[in-house]
Amino acid sequence: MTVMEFFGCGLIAFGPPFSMFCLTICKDPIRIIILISAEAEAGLQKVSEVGVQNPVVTDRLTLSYVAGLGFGIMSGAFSLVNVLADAIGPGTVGLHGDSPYFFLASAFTTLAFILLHTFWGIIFFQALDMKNYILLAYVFFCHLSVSALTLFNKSQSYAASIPPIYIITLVTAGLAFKAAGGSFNNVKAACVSRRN
Amino acid sequence: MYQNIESDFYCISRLNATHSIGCQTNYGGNVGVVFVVENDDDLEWVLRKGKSAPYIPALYISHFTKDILLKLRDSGRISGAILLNRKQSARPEGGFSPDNTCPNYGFGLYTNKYANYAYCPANEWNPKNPATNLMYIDWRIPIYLLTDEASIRNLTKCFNDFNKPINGSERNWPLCAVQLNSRMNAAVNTPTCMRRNNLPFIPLSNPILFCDPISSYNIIATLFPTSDNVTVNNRSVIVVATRLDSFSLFVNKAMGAYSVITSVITLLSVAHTLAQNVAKLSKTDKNVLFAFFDGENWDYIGSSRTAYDMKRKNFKPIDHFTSNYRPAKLGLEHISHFIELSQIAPFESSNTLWIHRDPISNQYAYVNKTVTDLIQLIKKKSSNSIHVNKSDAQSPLPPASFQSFLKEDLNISGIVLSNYEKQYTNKYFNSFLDFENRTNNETIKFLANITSLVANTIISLVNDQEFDVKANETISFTFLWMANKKNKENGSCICSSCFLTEALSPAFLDDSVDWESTSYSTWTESVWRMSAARLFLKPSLTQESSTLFAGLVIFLLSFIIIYILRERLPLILQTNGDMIYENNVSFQNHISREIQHYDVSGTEVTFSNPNRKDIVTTQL
Repeated sequence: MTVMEFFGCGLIAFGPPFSMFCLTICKDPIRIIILISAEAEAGLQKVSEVGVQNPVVTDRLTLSYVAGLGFGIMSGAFSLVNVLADAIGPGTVGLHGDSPYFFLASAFTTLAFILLHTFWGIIFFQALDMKNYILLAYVFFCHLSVSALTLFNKSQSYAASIPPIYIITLVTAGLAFKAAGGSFNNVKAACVSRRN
Repeated sequence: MYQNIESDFYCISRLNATHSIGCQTNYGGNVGVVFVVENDDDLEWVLRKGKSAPYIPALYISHFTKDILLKLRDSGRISGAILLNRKQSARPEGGFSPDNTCPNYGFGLYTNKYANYAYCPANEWNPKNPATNLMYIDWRIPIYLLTDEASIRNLTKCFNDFNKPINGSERNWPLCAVQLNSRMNAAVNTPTCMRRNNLPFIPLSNPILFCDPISSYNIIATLFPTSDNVTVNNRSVIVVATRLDSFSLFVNKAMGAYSVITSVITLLSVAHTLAQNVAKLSKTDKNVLFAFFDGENWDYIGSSRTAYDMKRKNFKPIDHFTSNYRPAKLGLEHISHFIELSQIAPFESSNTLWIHRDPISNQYAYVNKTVTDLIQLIKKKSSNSIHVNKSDAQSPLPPASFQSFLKEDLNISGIVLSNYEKQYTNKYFNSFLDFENRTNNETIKFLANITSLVANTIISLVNDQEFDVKANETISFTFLWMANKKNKENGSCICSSCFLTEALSPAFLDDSVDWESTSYSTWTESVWRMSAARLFLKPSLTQESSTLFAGLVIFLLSFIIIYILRERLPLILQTNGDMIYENNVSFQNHISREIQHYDVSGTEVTFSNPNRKDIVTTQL
């Protein structure tokens, strides 16, 4: 791992979350606070009475998205920062026959987990609000199974862990999209309206 | 990922008035591809063939010579070097002494004033060998010594697994590399780095010390305790001295068995023998001073400071809060005889002891007579087991602490006892290979014989004139806390006339600072923080840059996708009417925009919807 690899892996894992932060979170201070501590919701409700056009605390979807991303970034930071910190030296993995893809695999796994946390956040809020216990159970078992899949990494079978994790991420993304109120027709409509 | 290897023995940087010598590491350490050099072909690979420079060659002692190392350094293709030398490895037959052939040549008695003898014109004391002068080269790269079996095994295994060319062709990346890190703070020379030490402290900068003068303590003891309020007669003190320090290219690895230790043992033994018989000697006004000088390899630091202090009547113990001992302030004129032990043990098998004299001071009749008498006495006392020989009267003294005293005062009579006549018999003088690897009873027997010889000589010198002893109420001792051999937790108090004096070169004394001195040692040692050495795999540049490229692409792509999504999201996320939540927020942005659009009448936009039910808040 060298400085170049350090930044490469850092950007793979945290580049997309960083884009999300820049484009959707950072313009609103309340969202930043929620991102960092999702539990502040109740307190924020009391102090955000100023005539904001779209108060985040009353908007369940935004709230769930921001809180989910916050959880994702935190879990990602905890899982990858140690690896990155150990790694900013001149060398790379493999002295004892380990896979040279360890860092790439870690970075991609971390990215998947950050995205998954965001989606899980949206689905979980929705499921609780709607008392939809099937969705609730999905989030639980999805989390469990994805975490279990990472056990393959121990034996360096990255092919067995990363593709399934990304398939699950795509499915979960679809569910989150649905939970947020999206549908295929809307996508079509959006594209059409864009053309107009 | 990383594997630490032994990093205890490495070369450091030292500086004098004009030069810096030794090793240096880049900030953060030097990285190079490991190449174990076993033969000349391997050397050729490092020097020319290999395409993965910079290398860090790991050499065995047969290839660790000055010529090869210089060739490697000047090729610009290495960023460090490692010497592999297992503990049980045989020592090179041709000798291995990184010191000069004329040790301390610029700072003894024989400098420009006595040009006939300067720079060892007649003979080089330290015989030329493959490592000659290794110590005094400014390497500018780190050099490490590995002795630990596990470290050597790991390094060679790593080399064989990843780097060793197969059928003469280069291996693919990643290659096994090593990082050596022992960053030296000092640079250029002593005046520069001492000046930098004194720079004002800049806030927020690292409070850094660059170098320290090489200094330590001389250990001094007198046979009879002295006191600073009792006058000492001129020419009444016999000095028996030896040096205390050795060095090697690698810090922490300088045993100095034959360079130093045998002489130290003998001197301690002489002191012990005399102390046991002190009752028989008490009727005398003579005294014996045992001196162990430190820093002698760095241009006679300990002895030059002692002679300097004695000349200025300032020879005193270091301040020590527990000691009230005030020994007499001895001067150079108090010294009657100076006997120095310098490498006295027989290196291989020889039981000859050589006596060296100084041709310059022996031109004085008094000195000549005293020295001749002394030599006669020693010859008389010598037994059959030791042959005592005089070296040529016109030949100068070998490098010795005694030279520092003669430099201050040519009226001191003295000799240097050694096991060599014209060249050191010790082929590993001042090197990490100067150790005793066999239990040699003959050496011990020989040292015991020398002890008796020296002790008997001193007894005769002390007892030759008999005077009534003065009352000794004023005599005081110092009390030293010594570790107890039998009971390690409790030490014991030893009543002793032993004390320490400062061995700091006069060039660094506050009232006479001269960092460019040519008469006193100006050696300083760089300050360094740590030493580390580790093995790892070094990735190819392609692997590194492709990872970085992948990261950048993913980041940019995600940015663009999320930007588009953000713009389009209000259109995508539509809810049907029954998806209104408890808190009165819905997602009907699309509709409200249309309302807004079509309600434009005249110049004013009338968007009258006070009910926030319809206000869209999904925009992220």
